Order: sequence, then C-alpha cells, then structure tokens
Amino acid sequence: MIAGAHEEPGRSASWGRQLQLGPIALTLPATLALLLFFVAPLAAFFVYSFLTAGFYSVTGPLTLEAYQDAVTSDVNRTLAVNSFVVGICVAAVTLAISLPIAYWLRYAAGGWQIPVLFLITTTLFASYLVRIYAWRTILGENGLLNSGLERIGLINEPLGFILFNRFSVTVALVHIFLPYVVLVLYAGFRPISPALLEAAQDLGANALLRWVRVVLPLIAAPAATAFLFVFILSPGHYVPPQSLGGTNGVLLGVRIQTALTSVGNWPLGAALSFLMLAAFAVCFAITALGLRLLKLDRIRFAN
Amino acid sequence: MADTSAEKERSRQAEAARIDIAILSRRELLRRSGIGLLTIGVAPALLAGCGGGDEAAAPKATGTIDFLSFEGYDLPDQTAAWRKENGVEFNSTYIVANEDIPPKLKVGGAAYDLSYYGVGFKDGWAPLGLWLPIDEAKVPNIEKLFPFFKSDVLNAWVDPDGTRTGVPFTWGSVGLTWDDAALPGGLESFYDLLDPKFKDKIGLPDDAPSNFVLAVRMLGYDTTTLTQDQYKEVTDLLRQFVKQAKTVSPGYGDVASLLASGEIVAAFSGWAAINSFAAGAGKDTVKTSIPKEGGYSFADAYMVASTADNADTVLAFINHVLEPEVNAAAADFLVGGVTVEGSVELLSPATASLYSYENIEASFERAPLFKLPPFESDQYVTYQDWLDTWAELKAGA
Repeated sequence: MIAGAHEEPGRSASWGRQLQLGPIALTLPATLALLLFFVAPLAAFFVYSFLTAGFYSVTGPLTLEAYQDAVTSDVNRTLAVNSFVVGICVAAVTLAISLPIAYWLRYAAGGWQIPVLFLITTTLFASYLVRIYAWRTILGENGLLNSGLERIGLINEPLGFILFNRFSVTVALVHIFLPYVVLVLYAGFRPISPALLEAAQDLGANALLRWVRVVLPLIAAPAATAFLFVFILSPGHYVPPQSLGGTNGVLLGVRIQTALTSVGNWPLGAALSFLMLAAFAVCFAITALGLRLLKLDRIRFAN
Repeated sequence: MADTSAEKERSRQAEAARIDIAILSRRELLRRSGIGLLTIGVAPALLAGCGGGDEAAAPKATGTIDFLSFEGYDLPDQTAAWRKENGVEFNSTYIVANEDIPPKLKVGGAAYDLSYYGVGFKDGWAPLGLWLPIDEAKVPNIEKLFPFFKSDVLNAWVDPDGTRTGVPFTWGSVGLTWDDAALPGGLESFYDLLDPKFKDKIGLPDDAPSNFVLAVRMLGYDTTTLTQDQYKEVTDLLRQFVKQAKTVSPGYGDVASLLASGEIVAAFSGWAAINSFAAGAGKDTVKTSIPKEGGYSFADAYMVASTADNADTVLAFINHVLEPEVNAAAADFLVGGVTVEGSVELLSPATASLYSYENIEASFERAPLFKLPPFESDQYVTYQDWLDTWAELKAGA
C-alpha cells in the first residue's frame, strides 16, 4: 500500500498546514540572517548619515549636514559625473563584448561550449589585485602594448595617454565584469530555443533581422539586468581608480572609501553611499519602466 | 639568440618582480625585503644575540601578547627565538593606516596589549587615553638608546612630567626620491619637480600627513599653528604637485613600482626604503635625499595599550627589541633606522647606508621629527582639515 493513500481527512489537513508552513520555516534562517547582518547594519548606517561627524565618531542631533556637504561639494559633483560616464562606458562595452560571446556559446559553440565556459569561470579565480595590476604591464609606457606597437613601427614614442586615466579604469573594469555578464547572458539565452531562430530564417529573415526582431527582444530583459549590474557596481570599485586612474580617473567609490577610513567622516561616507543607492534605484526604476513600456518584460518563451 | 633569450627572461623576471612589488602592501614589502636582507646579512648576529644583555632585569615574559599595529611591527622572525624561549605567543591584528588604531583601542571590543604610535600622532592621541605609563625600570635597555631617542625631544616619548609613554624602535626620513639613471645627480629642490618637463613623470604617495608636512616645511610654516591663509598657500602648492603627478600611488611600494617600470622618474614624499623596494624590482638606480628645503623624519614607538592585561610581557618584549642585535635585525627587516647605539655595526650594508649615524642630531636637523596639527582647534587648521583637503586634492580638486 502506498503510504498516505488512505489517510484520514484530519491528518491530511495537518499535512496541508505543514506544507503551508514549510516555505516560511525554510526561509526563516536566511531571512533572519539578512535582517541581522544586512538590514540592521544598513539601517544603522542610514542613521549615521544624519549625524554630525567627529574624528572617527558621530554625535547627535539628527541633521542633514552630511547630505548638504555631499551634494554641494564641487569635487563630489565632478566625481559623480566621472562615475556616471565610466559606469555607462563599462556597462556598454562589457555588454557589447559579452552578447556575441554568450550567443556563440549557446548556439554555435558545439563541443567548445563546456571548455570555454570553464575558461571564462577560471578567470574569476585569479586575484582581483593581480588582474588590475596586470593592466599596468600591458598599458604602461614600457608595457606590452607600447613595446609591441614600437616594435612593428606604428609608434616612435610610447603612448602615455592609455594608462592612469578614465580609459585604463574602464578597461580594467570591463575585464573584471566580463565573465559575470557573459554568464548572465548565457543564462538568458538558455531558454530561447534555436527553433525560434530557424523559424525566423524559414520565414525569410536575414541574420540582421533575426537579431533585431527575435534575439534582442528575447534577451532584452537579461541584457538590461546585466547592464544595470555593471553600471551600479562600477562606481563603487575603488581599487582600479586608485591603481590605474591617475589624477582624473577617480570615482565616487574612492571618495566614500576615504571618508569612511582615512578621513574618519562616517556621516559623509554614509550620505554619499545612500545618495548613490538612490541614484541607482532611480536608474533601476527607469530601466524597469522602459522594459514594461516596450513590453519586453512580459515575453515568455517556450521550447 | 641565447643572449636575447636571457635578456628576455631577465626582462620578464624584472617585470614579474615589478608586478609583485606593486600589489603588496607597504608592510608586506617591508617584510619580504627584510627577509632577504636578514638572510644574507644579519641572521648570524641575530642567532648569536637571542639572549643575554639586560634582559635578566626585564620582567618575566609569559602568555599571549595581543598586538595591534602594521604588519611586520610585531617582528615575527626577529623575535622568534625569544618568543619560543619564553613561551610567548602573539595574537596580531594588522592595521592599514594609523587612523585604525584609536577606534580599535577605544571601541574595538578586544583587549590589546601592545601597539604603536608615530611621533606626529602623540599629541592628538594623548587625550584619548590609548596608552599606559611605562615603568622604565622594567625596560632597562632604554639606556642603550641613542641619546637623541633617550631624550624628551618634542615630548614624543616622555611627557613633560617625566612619564614615559613610548619607546622608539625604528625611524626614517622623507624627502625626494629619483631615478639616477634618468636624472643623473638628482634634484636639489622639491620645486624642480614642478618643471613642465616633469609633467606626468613624477609620483607621490596617498599619504596626507607626509605630503602636507613637506609642503608646510617648503613654505617655512609650522604644522601646529597653521592659519587659514597659510593653509591656502600650502594647499595650492600641494595641488600643483598632484596635478603634475602621473598618479597618486596607493602606497610607497607603488611609488617604487612606478620608478622601477620607468613610468615616473622622481617622487615627492620620497623615502629611503623606496630605493630598496625598487632595487628588489630590478631598478638599483633609485636614490633618495633631503632637498634644500629640508624633509622630515618619522619615529615609531611601541606603547603599552591602555587595554593591556599582560603589560609585563609587553615590557619584556620591548626590552628585547632594544637589544642591539634585534634592533639591527628589525631595521633590516623594516628598511629603517636603528634607535640603539650598539646596533649600527650590525646592520647590513644596504640598511646602514640609508642614514648617517655619525651625527644623528644633525640628520634630524635637516629632516626633523614633526608634530601634526591639533586634532581640534578654533584658531588653527586641524588634522581633520588636512585629511578632508587631501581627499579632495587626490580626487582632482
């Protein structure tokens, strides 16, 4: 006899209640951990942003002074523009490089799919600092790029403008985010059956039309997610700007890090962090709204 | 062809060393460079000198020392034999910057025994009650210090009332560093770095106190009584150096890396240890001197933390570090100066050449110890002002 095939109605109701409680019980530890280790510190950090700065200390009462300092500072405004420009560039370039790679992996890689995915994943194992400093040896005046160009006679003097500026920061950040975005987009392509592309081809769509009318609408939501992921996280990185940014490639993340550590101005660091968070929330809302208006968020695909 | 291959290999190794040196923290660099020097230079002396001296008069050492300072300042290899002999263990917490110390000692939630302070921070940290008075009778090797370090200069280690607050164990001078291969003979003045031909060819570290102290010295002002007008001049001067620089390096190791790779040819806030770091990366032509405007010196002192529950062992440790052999090994390891008279002849040639010990007072006249601005003041520019302004300057203001 199959267990439970002839259970009494009361007992069945008890199982039902247990099933109802199951998800809550299962997520309770994670919820508590999030509340304790994420929401609570974030709330405390939020309160800090309204306090007055001492030297590695804060005092009351609540004030908007830190926010006022954050938005009225010329330096912060410059860094915000820097961060926006670099964030957009990094996100756009990363997406542009990742899309064809992910597409190829999904539909054309064949037996290369697993090895290439493995290689992409292994790049994440390299030290973050090594990956950043490696660009110095590539872009430096005596680096691989300049040496190579000199050797083949394309330049007579090293190109000094490719390191220690926004360009080198952008290059390093693209390098850092590329594996993540490829994986996100590959996951986005997974549910899109090759049959859809074949059907479009059968109906007379050329390669460009297939991309524009079939692939892009289907991948729009994952691509937008990947774009936001990179755009939001880029300005927060403070090591690449410090190591490769020179004196004009500094981003807001450096300012926040400095405020929270060497300067010891915790309210300013907190205020800048929450202003960035608010700006990104607005970007997220605009993107979500755009996808909805274009009806790209409701596309469902089935194999 | 063989020569070319060997050259390529040497070039590859030098490049690898440059990457290596660039990604290390200053203290890690000190540790690594020190290990090499220690191996070839001072190890025999250290092994020979792991006991004796006036250590019998020091208190009995035992238990665990909870340590809070830069990595390397706990001198793990240099004091290994002493630790083993006395059964002392270290529980070390490493900091990234000086500013990490006050919050950890005040609200860190942990009881630290041994920490350190730089001379410049003494006045600012004193009101915070971070240290305990040191009983000099329990550190008899204080008698072995150079007279300069035994004195109460700037009240850096001894308060006006005679209370000892710290024991200096290493020091160094900061001035101008350059690559002698690119600039034979070097530069005489910091202002030479502002020559248009050096645009994007100089560097400076992300070290606000160091850069500000030098700029203040260049203009002939006093760091502790800086008025707003004077401060504007100082800031404007410093801004010129930042704008002239290729980049603001995260640390001194990074400055060495840039010199080694040829990205820059000179550095503001140069430090003699950079010579060693660059040599380790394959560039042995980097030199440091004190320019005509003068430089400054730092001296770091151990303190017994106010949260200490094992003070006697801390004092025994400090006493041991003042043994000439240990002090010399520490200087080699930290690429710094010694504070104990008898240790000079035990230094490796490379470390001994960093500073002149024949007339140590004269060296400190050209590059004096400094005090930081007041931490709070309605009248003068404060240390917080320096930090705020530096954060803006390096961000491009």
